[in-house]
Amino acid sequence: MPLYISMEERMACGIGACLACVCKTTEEDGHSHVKNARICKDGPVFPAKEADLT
Amino acid sequence: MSGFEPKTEVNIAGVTLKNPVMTASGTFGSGMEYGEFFDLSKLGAVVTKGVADVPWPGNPTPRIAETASGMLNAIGLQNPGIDVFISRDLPYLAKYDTKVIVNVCGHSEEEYLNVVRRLAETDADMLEINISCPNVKEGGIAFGTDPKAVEAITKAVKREAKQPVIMKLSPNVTDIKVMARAAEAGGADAISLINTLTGMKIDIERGKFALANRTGGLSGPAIKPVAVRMVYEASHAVSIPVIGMGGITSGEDAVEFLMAGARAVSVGTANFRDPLASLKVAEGIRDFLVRKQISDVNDIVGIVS
Repeated sequence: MPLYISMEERMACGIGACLACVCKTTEEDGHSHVKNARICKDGPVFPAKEADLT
Repeated sequence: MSGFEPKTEVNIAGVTLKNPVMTASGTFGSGMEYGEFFDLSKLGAVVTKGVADVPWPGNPTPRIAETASGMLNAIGLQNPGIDVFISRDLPYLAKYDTKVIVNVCGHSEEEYLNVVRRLAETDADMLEINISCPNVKEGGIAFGTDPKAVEAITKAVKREAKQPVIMKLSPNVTDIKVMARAAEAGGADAISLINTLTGMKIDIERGKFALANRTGGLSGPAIKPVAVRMVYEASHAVSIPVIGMGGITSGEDAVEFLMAGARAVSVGTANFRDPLASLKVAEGIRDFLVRKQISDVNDIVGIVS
């Protein structure tokens, strides 16, 4: 049964430009090619296995 | 009154901008997100997020906190690195009729130069050098707080840059005139100021710092009077053009900076409340000129003395 997780982080622009609302991911993100997804743009819901909650 | 259309073109170091409004680095990404809200061709220039020679992950979250009439940010210069920037972001901006100013960051002189050299092979119009980055060779103190470092990094960049070079000054200094003169002495074609003021917020309910990084940069309307004062001082200390920013939310705010001595302005934090903010600032400047029957925006630059 696939598990999804809804993430939240303080947002400034809300459209994916300012990079305030990132969450760590297990895979490289498509924007900065580090392991930070933008919760406002790439989420806020992620497959649970992609979210790095450590 | 009808048919009166003021001239809004300004020239910064040989580059002609259709109007004096740009975006502040870090608030606008590389334009893709805001491009969905308005035609970027209406801006004088887009100043991109700082780009380093490799991807930087940035700081842990929370990265931002709201403060009275402003905000703190400690994004930590997360960016995709110069390779992705050149292959993905520059081609997007090239589709628009607006100047492209690339903000450059680094932890050492060599890192800045790596980016400057790569950008010399592109059609970017100008470079804006972010010297609020921590200088790892000097123990993490920002380049922009030591006039000798400001002059040295300016000289080094100017030796390799193809495009005109704007040095973006930090306001966290004792005397902004000293920093402005150091940039000019190093050969800067222009200066831009102010970057953010270092601040802190404490979450008293949790008894913790509001930001994971502890300190962050304060921006927004709260800093405008400091910014106007520094733009005034800097523009009287050097003869190179000054780009002013800090809390601009309207055409009227922008006119203050122009009258203080700025040739152009950048709009940053205001974009977070209204994605069309930079557009409205450009329109507001024009409306002011029409109301005052001033035929050329350059006629108000530095008139307050």
